[in-house]
Amino acid sequence: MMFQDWMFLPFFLVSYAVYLALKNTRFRNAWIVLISYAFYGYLSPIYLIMITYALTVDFFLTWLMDGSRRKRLWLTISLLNDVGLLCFFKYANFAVENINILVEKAGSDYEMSSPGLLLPVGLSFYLFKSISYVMDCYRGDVDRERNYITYAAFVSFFPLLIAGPIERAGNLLTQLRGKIRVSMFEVSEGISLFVMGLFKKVVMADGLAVYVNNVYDNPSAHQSPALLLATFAFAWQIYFDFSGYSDMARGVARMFGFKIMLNFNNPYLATGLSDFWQRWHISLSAWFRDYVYIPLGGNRKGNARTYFNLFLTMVVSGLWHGAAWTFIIWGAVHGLGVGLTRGLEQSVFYKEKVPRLAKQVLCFLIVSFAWIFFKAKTWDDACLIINRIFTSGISDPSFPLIILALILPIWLYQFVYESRARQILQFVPLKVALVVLMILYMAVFSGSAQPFTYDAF
Amino acid sequence: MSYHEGRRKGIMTDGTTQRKRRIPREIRDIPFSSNAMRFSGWQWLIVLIVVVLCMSLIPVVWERAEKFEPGPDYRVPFELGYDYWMYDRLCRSYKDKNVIPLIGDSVIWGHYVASEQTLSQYLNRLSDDSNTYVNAAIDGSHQVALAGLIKYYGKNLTGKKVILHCNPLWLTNKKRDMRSKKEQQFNHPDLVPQFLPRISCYRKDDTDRLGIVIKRVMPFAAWVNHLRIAYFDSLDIYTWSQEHPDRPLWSAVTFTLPSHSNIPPETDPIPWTQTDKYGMQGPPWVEIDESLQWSFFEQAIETLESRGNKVFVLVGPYNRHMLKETSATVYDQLMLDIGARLKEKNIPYFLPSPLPSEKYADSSHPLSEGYEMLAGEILKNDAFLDFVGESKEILP
Repeated sequence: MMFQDWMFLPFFLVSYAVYLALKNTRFRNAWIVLISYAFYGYLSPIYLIMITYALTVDFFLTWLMDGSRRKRLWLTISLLNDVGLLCFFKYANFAVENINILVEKAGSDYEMSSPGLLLPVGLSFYLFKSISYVMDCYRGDVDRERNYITYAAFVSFFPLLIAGPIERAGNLLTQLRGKIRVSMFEVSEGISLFVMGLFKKVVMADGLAVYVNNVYDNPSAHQSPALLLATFAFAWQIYFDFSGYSDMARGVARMFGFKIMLNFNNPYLATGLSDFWQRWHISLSAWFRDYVYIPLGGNRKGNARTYFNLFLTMVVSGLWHGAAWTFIIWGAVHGLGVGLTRGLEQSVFYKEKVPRLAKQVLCFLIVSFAWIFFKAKTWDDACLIINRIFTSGISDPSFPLIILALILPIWLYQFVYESRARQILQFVPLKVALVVLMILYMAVFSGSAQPFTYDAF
Repeated sequence: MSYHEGRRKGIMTDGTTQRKRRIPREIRDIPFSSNAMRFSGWQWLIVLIVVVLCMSLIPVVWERAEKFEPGPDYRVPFELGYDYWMYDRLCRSYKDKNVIPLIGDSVIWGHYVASEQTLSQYLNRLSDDSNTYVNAAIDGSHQVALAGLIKYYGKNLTGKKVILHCNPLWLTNKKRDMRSKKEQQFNHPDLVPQFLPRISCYRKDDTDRLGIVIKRVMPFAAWVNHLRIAYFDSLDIYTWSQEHPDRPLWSAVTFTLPSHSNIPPETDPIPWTQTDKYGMQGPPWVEIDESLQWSFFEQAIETLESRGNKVFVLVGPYNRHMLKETSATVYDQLMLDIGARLKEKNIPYFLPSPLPSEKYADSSHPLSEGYEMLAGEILKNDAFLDFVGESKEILP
């Protein structure tokens, strides 16, 4: 079940009505677990076995860790279990494919059969949430949760289950332990977030997907302008898709009385790649910073090591997004980009002399270039697209103007939002008019539903 | 000291003082969003009121801009067969008129003939009242869909006399009767029951089914569907824009509806005997007691009667000449069963004899001359004359 599905409506109404009745009772978290399991199990009941196993193991390992002298042992077992699950379900097919290629290149006829495993939706998200909790417990950054149901509610909290944000125990678990306030304020804020997210998803992302998929499904049939426009359009598509989901997730959580971290902060207004990663998928970037980059040594071990750590973190981040070389290369491109531009971004010249708009455009171009690897089906396709962008002729890209007419105002809106003129956007009649138009637009023009890009990760 | 009490005071269970927690900066100060769309409850209420007003008014205003004046030979254009908003609009246009609508599938709609050659038109021509009979059929609406069409979009026909057509084609076998266990594509899925009763050959996600149910009760959704069907080749605007990148959206909205006289593409209005497409057939037929299509046909009658409609049922005429001997025998028995069932329910009906073989285009569709003959037969039928006679007494 996805937020934009019709089925979510009765699910939400029923679960929310009961929740309001239970919110200040000891059954509240049990109800959260129950509805989260119903939400997740609707996709496939088998998924419930996996999540129950993962959260149960981590719950007991942190229990063993508490006050133990062998904390590191329990941490190691937990990490091996979680990372092992992730590798098994997410990367086994990829590993077998690559082993077979290597064996074939070595001249052998041997071929390993693919395990053909199905990746449970949202696995990466809830495992990362669970890993962060175990790590935080190990470091003493959060108190161990003693109530299994509360912990289960933290890991399985349905708004964040499919595609995050990857919320930390320090925030969400703390809220789950305390009293929850749900008033008209929380409800109206939740609706605000949800409606914006829904618009981003069903109008913007799904609309852009039509053009992007048409071009990327057959890159050899398109020339430079179409490939370029499709690449830029994909940059926006994935932003609207994922940030739309995040907004909806935060909105639903807000209506339930929970404040969830901001996951996207107008990333295409970033003035550099480092800035971009502080604005894009913030929960994941922060996760990799705290649990990969900093444990690797961060920037504390000299310049060379800092660049290596940055690069490795980005490659691992790429691998997290999908079991394919294109994702790894996407991560590596970002790693290289961050490494190469880090010095420049910190220079006085770049900070003070280069116009902000030029920095934003440059950053957008680099990010868009990297998206080619992310979106292309294969490495060969990615190379073909890059090659054709620079070498193929110029022909009419057949780019629907409606898409341009939607992206440009949103880009402009973001510029205004981050400028001194921001107060204009607070003008209530303008806001009301905008949101009415958005809702009517959704009702009239929303396209055929596309799956969320990020639920596959 | 309890665990919770200790935690409040910052003391761990082992007695040590809790050290300062490291909270990532993204979490410390959670911003609301990265845009200014933050509304209070009152503002949302205003938005809701404005949206509801717009959704109620837009279709009404649209009707004023988009001309629709159905003449006596009007039938729902083939291209608008899935446009139920237009069907509702058509029924509304008949609301205050002295007409008898003919409701049915492509046999009544006139799949192989022009709009002035359909049964309703021949009934008009051969009877005194030239414009009494109107074509309110939809191409492809099998009886399960027909029941839905009448239930959800035929409310404006309330109180009228109605001729309801039963096409035996839908009873030829289990597949046509929609009782096959395998998934099956069929016409007008949005008109069939989405949840109960469960139709075994209809596979769709529950969420899609729920969407269809919700849209049925929202006239605005039906209007949106009309917009897509009438002007955007039944596509969403993104796919349409993709196919017509050089055309702005507004250029598509011409406020001109497709012509009602068009016959569907690739239909040859020639007798079935003159083409190689058809041979003799031996369908097994289904019994009406087991038939899903028949049960929905009865439901359609009940819906109409519950709205004060007086219903006359026309069954067939199926192309019996196409049937093999054994199948024809079963067919004859089926017709007797249908007749008996309608009689039992006190529904006036007519089971016409098969038309001459060359008057059929296929197994169930008459050609123009066939419709003319059929109209003549109907106008001689006592039950029908009774039905119409009552009509003349009541109507001004």
